[in-house]
Amino acid sequence: MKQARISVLEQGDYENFTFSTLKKIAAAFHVAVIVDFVSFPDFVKWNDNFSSESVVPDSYEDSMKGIGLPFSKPSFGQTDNQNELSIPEITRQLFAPLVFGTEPSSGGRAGMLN
Amino acid sequence: MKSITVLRAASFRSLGPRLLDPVILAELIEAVKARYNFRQVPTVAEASEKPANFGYGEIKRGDSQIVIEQLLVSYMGSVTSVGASTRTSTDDADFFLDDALRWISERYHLDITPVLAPAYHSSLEIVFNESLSRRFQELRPIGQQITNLVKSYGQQKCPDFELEGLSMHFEIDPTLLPSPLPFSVQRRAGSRYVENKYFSQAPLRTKDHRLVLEEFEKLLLK
Repeated sequence: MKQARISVLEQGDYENFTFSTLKKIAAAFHVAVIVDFVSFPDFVKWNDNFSSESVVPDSYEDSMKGIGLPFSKPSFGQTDNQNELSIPEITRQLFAPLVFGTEPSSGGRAGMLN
Repeated sequence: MKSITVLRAASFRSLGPRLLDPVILAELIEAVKARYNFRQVPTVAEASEKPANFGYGEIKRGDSQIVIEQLLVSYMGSVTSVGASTRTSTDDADFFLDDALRWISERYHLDITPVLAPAYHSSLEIVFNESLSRRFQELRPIGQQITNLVKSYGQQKCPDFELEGLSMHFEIDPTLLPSPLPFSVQRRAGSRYVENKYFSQAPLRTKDHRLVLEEFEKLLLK
């Protein structure tokens, strides 16, 4: 993004942000972005708590340090779990004979209690 | 091997059927959340109908703070599966499960005698010094044949196909429970081939998975 464009975005009264631009800014600062629809009471509460500190979140690295997560930052636009099986999927495979039965006709998930 | 990174290290215990039924779920969920500081916890309704899924808890082990990425309690037919995953090692996952099961059994007088052997699942990212396909030049003509056929369909820029990974498993035996997952080494999704970055999964403890990969490299990538 060119400096002239960044300068426009930095102006306090600029309002024409696209979601795509917000995601680029979030990625540059290593933070997440949420656009949320809320009720008016929630909006009033949020407004009451508004401060310069409250609108500056910790970066990805700092927030992960806070809860001790040792994994590295995923690249923007990528997930960190490519190739990997999820824990529910591993569980299903470990107990596949119990869940799916031993014969193809045993009916898929019929034996699964959850 | 240039580097090795733990992506996930999971340990699974198989206990008696419907282990948590005698327990007041709401109390148990709150107690587990408080003891291990889980950031994500299931609602009582979720835990009653689906596998109970807890996310991002912590436990102290010596001087280290272990992060429990996920704790999943599932009813799998006649077995209650209790699985825990970390991003550090299966030893850490075992440490957490030992603590959690001992504590729950004492508090709620539950029988936590295992009904099956424990199971493990390890996922690692490895950077090898060279590509796996270089070791299997015999397969090169097959890769070229596939490429030439794809090119004949009009995709003129198609590169040569090459060996992307290896996998080892066995014919499924329905009496073998828990059923170990395959061992595999394959290109890391999303990485460039020139990086020689691979993903490997194995039904092993983290330290054993590392040993197997060291042997794999000695045999195939020397």
